[in-house]
Amino acid sequence: MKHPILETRKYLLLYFAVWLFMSVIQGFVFHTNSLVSLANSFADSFIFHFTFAIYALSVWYALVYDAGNKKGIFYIAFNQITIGVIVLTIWFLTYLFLSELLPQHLYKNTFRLANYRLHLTFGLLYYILNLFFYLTFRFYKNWQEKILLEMQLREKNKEAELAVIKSQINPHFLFNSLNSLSYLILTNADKAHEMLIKLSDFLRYSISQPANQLASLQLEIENSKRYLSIETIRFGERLHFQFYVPDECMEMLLPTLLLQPLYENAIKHNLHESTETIEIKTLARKNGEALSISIQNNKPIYRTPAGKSTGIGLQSIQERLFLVYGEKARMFISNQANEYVVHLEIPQISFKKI
Amino acid sequence: MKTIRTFLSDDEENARNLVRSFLQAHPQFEIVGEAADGLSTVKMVNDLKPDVLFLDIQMPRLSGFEVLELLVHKPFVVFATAYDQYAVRAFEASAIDYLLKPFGRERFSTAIQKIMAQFSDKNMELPQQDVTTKLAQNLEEPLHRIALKKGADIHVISIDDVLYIEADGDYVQIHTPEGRFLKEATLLSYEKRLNANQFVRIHRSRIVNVNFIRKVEQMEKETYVVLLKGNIQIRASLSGYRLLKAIMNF
Repeated sequence: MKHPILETRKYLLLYFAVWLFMSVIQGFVFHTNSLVSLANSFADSFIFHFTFAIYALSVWYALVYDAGNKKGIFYIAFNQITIGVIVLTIWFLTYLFLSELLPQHLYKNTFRLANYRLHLTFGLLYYILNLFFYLTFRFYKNWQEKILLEMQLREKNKEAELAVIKSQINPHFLFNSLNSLSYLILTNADKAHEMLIKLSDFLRYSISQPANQLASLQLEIENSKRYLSIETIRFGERLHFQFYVPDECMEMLLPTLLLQPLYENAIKHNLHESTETIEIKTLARKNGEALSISIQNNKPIYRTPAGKSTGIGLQSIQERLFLVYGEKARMFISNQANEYVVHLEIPQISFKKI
Repeated sequence: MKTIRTFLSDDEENARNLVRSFLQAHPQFEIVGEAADGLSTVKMVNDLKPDVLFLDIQMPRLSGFEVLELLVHKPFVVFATAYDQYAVRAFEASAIDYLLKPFGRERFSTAIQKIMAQFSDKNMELPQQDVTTKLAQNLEEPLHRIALKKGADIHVISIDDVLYIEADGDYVQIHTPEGRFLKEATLLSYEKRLNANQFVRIHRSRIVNVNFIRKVEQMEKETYVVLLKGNIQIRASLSGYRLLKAIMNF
């Protein structure tokens, strides 16, 4: 944190102006209550106040750098008292030393001796006021910073949410489907209507899922079927898919949209990057207390080398499984010449269903 | 009124059907063929030599851009893409028209007007469009593979298999273990799209794949030789040598 006074020229001038004012007043008071001349009174007061003003500036640093350790109020109080004693001592000694330089020894000595108690009391008072001022300032600054931080965090949160939604919609899929739809509208209103509803339901499901919630296999399969049937409208006879899911598995849980990248990958590699047909089979069964699910598809015979696959889809599945289940979930990949299989073992732990 | 021979290329039947149905409002356009993948497109367009080609970017076997690189006969091209930030940026930078799917009749008609405007009244021949170079210079999508032509054959090789690329006038020579291939492109266009940590420009006219480097030697003052697998020697300049040193950390 910046020093409230030292780092701003305007405040520094104001600070010394205030102390000048104080020293003038005190000078008058001493003069009227003693035999000391006005000049000497002012000189004494000036030295007294200005040396304090300078040393007092350093107290800020002692306060701020102590802020780190949260060792309890007694520790802090002890620290502050020690610092206070040290600063006051150094200051008073400086004052005594400098006031030696004043002329008119005699009067000065008498004056000083008689008033040192008063001086010390004033010194202590000034010190406490000074400390109080710094404390208030620091508190205010902390409060401001907190508000700013909160605002920034909220912004970041919004951005993150938006990014998640964006990532859950595959723009290629979306716009290509809309394009297909635009053709169907002109030629086959019924089919167009059907596709529109499927697309809308799919998108709604995709973007309404909070990140790592679980959903029933039934809901997930419904959504995957929607996706695949939309792709079937686009690719016609080239895409075939089957689901083999026994009733007892329908209520089992898994992370939302976990399987989506697997279907997207299968279609990407087989339909987008080759001209052959693809068959996607999804099989589920109960394996003890876990859900065992595998998605398999045939591989194209001719594949153009070095397509844009980056393995991100599979990686994201791994990460999500680990995030939710730790080591308990397993993923197996079998990549043979004719067939590609991804097999998942998903434990059924007690989570709240959405 | 002379017909404008048109070819449709898109991997989705519905997309091709849509263009066909839009074209009915423009009887001058005659559809002479269609294809659902890049490779067939190249073959058929070279055979049929249409005046206009509707070209989708995302296609199996070869992308729309790769098709363009390999076409001998170059028609007037109308590009289409559903969503491709790199493509769209390259189109805009090259002032080339493109259609974003889904597009409506009006937008389609605007593209048709542009084609019609290209006709010269005298001989009703569409001038050749050399969009390839324009696009190649502005495409910034990372390159994973290169589509190459040798005679009548088309090879698609992974970028990892490229030994080095050498500039040769308006062309480049792409050197692979299978031999070398000529492509109409600039070295700069490759430099932009290749991973700078794997493909280093060691000379004004050479980019080398560091994975194939066996040795780097200094010959005379300011002349360096890079020795590749298979005993291939290529010269590097001083600045190229320094760049190589920095990237490979030797």
